[in-house]
Amino acid sequence: MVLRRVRLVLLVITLVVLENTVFRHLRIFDAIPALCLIATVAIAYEEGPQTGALFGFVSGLATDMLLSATPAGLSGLSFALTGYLLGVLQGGVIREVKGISPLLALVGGLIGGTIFLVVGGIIGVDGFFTLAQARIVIVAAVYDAAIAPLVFAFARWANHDPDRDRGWR
Amino acid sequence: MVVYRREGQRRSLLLVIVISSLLIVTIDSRGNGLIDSFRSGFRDAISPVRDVVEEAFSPVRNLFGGVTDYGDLKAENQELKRRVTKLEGKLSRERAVGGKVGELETLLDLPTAEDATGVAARVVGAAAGNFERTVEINKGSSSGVFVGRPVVAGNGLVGKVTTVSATLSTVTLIDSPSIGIGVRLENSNVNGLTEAHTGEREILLKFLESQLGPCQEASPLDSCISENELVFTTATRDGAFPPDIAVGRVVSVDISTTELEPRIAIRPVVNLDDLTYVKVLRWPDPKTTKTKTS
Repeated sequence: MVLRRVRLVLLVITLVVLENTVFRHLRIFDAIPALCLIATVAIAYEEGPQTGALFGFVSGLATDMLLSATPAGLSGLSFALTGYLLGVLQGGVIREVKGISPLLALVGGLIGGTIFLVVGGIIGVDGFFTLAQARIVIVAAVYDAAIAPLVFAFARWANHDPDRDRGWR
Repeated sequence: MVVYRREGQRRSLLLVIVISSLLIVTIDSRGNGLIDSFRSGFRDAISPVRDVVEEAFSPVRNLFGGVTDYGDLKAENQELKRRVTKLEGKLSRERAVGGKVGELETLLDLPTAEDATGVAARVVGAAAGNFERTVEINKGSSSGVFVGRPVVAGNGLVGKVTTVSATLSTVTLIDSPSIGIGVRLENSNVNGLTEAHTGEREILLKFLESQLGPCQEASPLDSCISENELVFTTATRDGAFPPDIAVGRVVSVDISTTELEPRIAIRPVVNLDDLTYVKVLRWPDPKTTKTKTS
């Protein structure tokens, strides 16, 4: 249990660092993937809405610590809500399908990005209600989908708990 | 019954998270030292890891850039050769008047970009996420970097330092909506102000007084705006940026029937998406200020 938590912390730090360093050079149409958001979707898919929301909140706050133009807590809120929604979907609608990670990351990216923009716009962050931003949310969601299998595999490793004897789907 | 209880627990947790997030957002929006300290501490803590990852990734990045940008590099090379020839001619013409300008600047005691000393820094990261135009550099207050200092890279303006911790600083880039720069056009010297929009790489130019239209074939260059014309920082008293630093190049001048003024778009001369080393200028330079006040 402790080891799992350590690995989850390691997962968040690694993804934040990668997003902040490596992926800033790998922009596609000005967008980079939201790695912690993809990990949140992966955890929510595995563990359900409660853990998904909690993990999303923590990983979102870690992401917020490296932002300065938007207030801290904005990513935490949008990631937590995305984790919760995807967790609920997983429990009620989505069946266990192999290779579903890109679709989940796409949906998660769209939901997370939209919540981020809408809440950010409402609290007064400049220039959030524009077509350019909507385009970035869409491109980033597609990018999320493309690299989802890698992030899901990493999240699967971090979340693995032999005591519970549960397999990852 | 168990199902209802679990459902209730889920919703309570979500409610706690939402309220906590909104609380943090509100506190940070009003400017709270505690959250700023957390930010600085977190950045400083992961800074060594980021340095290592950035360094380790550089060969892959160069390879990726070389492969994907081969066509662009070839075209850019041709364009640069053409520009070098043109500039060599211009330089020899301007050399004749350059000495006189220098003498006049000394006589009038005008500070220039050359007066400003600086701190060289390496870019170690960019803002996580898609909605922010900042980069992180590996020099902070312990190296003499302070909030408000202008940042340049080789051939042009990069941005302004907006937050500083002991070992790191955040530089807000010039294509961020939070930065407006007083600029002048290369040929006409008409003053304007830059206006950036989130999610757009091109920066708009708004005139302060005179309105200029796009250059036609016969029009003199100093009465219109031409594509590829350079835009420099303007000289203002207590300005945030030193004068005469290249900011961008005009990429389009569009006249719309519905707008009163033309839409002028400029593209930064520095590739803001691929910064490696920058220089934080000590501006206003303490030495210059001292000389002026004494």
